[in-house]
Amino acid sequence: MIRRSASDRTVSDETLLASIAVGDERAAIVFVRRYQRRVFGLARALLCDDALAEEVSQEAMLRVWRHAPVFDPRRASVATWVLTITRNLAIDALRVRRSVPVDPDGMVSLLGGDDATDKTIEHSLTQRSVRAALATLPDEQRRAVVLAALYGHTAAEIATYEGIPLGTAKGRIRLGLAKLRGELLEQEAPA
Amino acid sequence: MSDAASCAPFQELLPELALGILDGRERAGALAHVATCPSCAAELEALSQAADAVVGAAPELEPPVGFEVRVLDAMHAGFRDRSRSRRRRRALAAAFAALLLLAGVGIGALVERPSAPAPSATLAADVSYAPFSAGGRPLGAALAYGGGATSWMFVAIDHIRISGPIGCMVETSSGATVDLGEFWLDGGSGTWSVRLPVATSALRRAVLTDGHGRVVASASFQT
Repeated sequence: MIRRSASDRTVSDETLLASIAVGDERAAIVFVRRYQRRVFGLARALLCDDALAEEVSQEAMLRVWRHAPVFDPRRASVATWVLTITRNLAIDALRVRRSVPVDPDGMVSLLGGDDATDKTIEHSLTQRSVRAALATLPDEQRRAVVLAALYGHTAAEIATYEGIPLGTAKGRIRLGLAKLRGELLEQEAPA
Repeated sequence: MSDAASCAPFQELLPELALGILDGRERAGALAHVATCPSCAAELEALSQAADAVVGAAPELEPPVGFEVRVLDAMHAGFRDRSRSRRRRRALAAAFAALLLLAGVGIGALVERPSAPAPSATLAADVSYAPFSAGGRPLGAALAYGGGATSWMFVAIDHIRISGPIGCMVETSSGATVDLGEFWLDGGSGTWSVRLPVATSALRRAVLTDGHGRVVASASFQT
């Protein structure tokens, strides 16, 4: 259990989740502090609205807490799981409130840009390296990947949104994701 | 067996599958192929990692003042509810026992001697009891009760390590499986009641499944 730990940072995400799953409130506090900036950052980027982003972020945290017992570390990293929950809740909010203007272009440039200050805790794939990898994609491929991965749009929806044929949309998704994967692999194992 | 030709149509779908944007039919077909094709499965895994990375790429942002407190308050309320629900479960277990007694069947008789003596209570009772256990540990029970025109099943669960939806099915003596729907476990416990579309005497087994359709507990009905 976490109660003995002097420092937040020495406890792994998986250990925190396991502690939360058995009702450890201290672990819940550490977890919220550890993840709130990432969760809110994603929600705010998708929703472009502070109040809505906070609502979604809060619900995401509660959902993580409620579902901690079923998290399977073999299937995903904790960070991916938490942020996927956040993304899905944000997408739901976007679908419900059709009048909220979304700004995928803003999101795309947000993600493709360079970030000089990165205060994140070390993970295997840091935000900065993913953004750097995304920046290497041609614009239209990056847009397609972001529209799919963050907004949950299907190839058909992307085709409509971008005003391109379905086959072109599928091609951009395929090439973009393949290039992203290649860039990420290269970052992990520099030649 | 898979070769390049049989993989080709599915390989095109792997990026969309990894991103989670395939529709139902295409998704089912692609997943079925991946389940039997190691090279496509490996490709899907690699693409999924890239897709997952994008979700983590949004820049961090400090939430509004008080966010942390509000979240922890909501969680704390939930922690309180859990200990309240422990008391509620004990009350329900008592109610469960009372129902069995009303039906004229002692709990001792059910547990020790499955073929219990005929009930003599005032309620016309057609009662079946299915205790769930895993590795000798009791997890809860299903009680099916048929009085008059309607049959009911009451399920009380404790100690199944799931918070989330639980599917419930019963198997009948004719070999049919009847899906009774889903209920919700919170912190590993929950109770639920549902109308039974079959006679209690036809029940053979109760089966509980998790959100992925995997069996988490099953029990035979004892009458």
